[in-house]
Amino acid sequence: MLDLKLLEEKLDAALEKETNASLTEWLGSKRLQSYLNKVLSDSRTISKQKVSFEISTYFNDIIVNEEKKVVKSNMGYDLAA
Amino acid sequence: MRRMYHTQEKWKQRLTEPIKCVREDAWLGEGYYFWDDLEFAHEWGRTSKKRTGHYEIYETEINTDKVLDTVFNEEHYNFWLKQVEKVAKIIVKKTGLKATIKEINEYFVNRGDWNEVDGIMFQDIPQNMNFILVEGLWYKKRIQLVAYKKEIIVNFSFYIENNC
Repeated sequence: MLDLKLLEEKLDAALEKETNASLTEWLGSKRLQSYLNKVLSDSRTISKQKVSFEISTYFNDIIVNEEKKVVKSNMGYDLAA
Repeated sequence: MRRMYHTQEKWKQRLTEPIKCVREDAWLGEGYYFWDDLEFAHEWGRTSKKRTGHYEIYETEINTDKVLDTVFNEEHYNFWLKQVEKVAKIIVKKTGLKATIKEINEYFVNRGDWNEVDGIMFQDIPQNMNFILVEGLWYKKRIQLVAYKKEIIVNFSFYIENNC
């Protein structure tokens, strides 16, 4: 049996801690990952211009800069010129 | 325990366990997807598992003790609805963006730490009028269950294969 009260408490605790930035970053990371999974096939390179253009349609400048760093350092994709 | 069906393309080897769906459009998040109704398991095979020209349906039993049943359990449905709207509103307020149902479910599991939830049972409405015998009345629920944990899936076995 599920303890619904406990589930709600855990969720409320998580939501309480969220700021505009933390939620935007979480959602942004999810969507960036989804986007990159879609566009990347066998190739592990993608043009910087294409990534920037697509990301900028969803995120503000802060997230774009942060996610570019994440993409470069953690995800192993070469951002070709 | 609930008897349900899992549809996949036919490959060279029969499956011994279900395949986890990691597709970006997996609407209830990553997990093992099952159909409640054999008719919809067949429709899914015909429309979405066409790569090899044949599909297979497997049957299994699911331990639903810790599955959030939004279809037949009123308490679970009302609870789930409340949490979905709570998270959705906060995401809109704090990000200006509207989350998808997949993102909401991922929030529950990843941020909300809902480790106790073994899966979710949910329904939508079939889009194919062939399932409907009453003109203009979508009376049949299209029920799916996503299992987040493999251990609740038992007695997984081949049921039938068919052409797409």
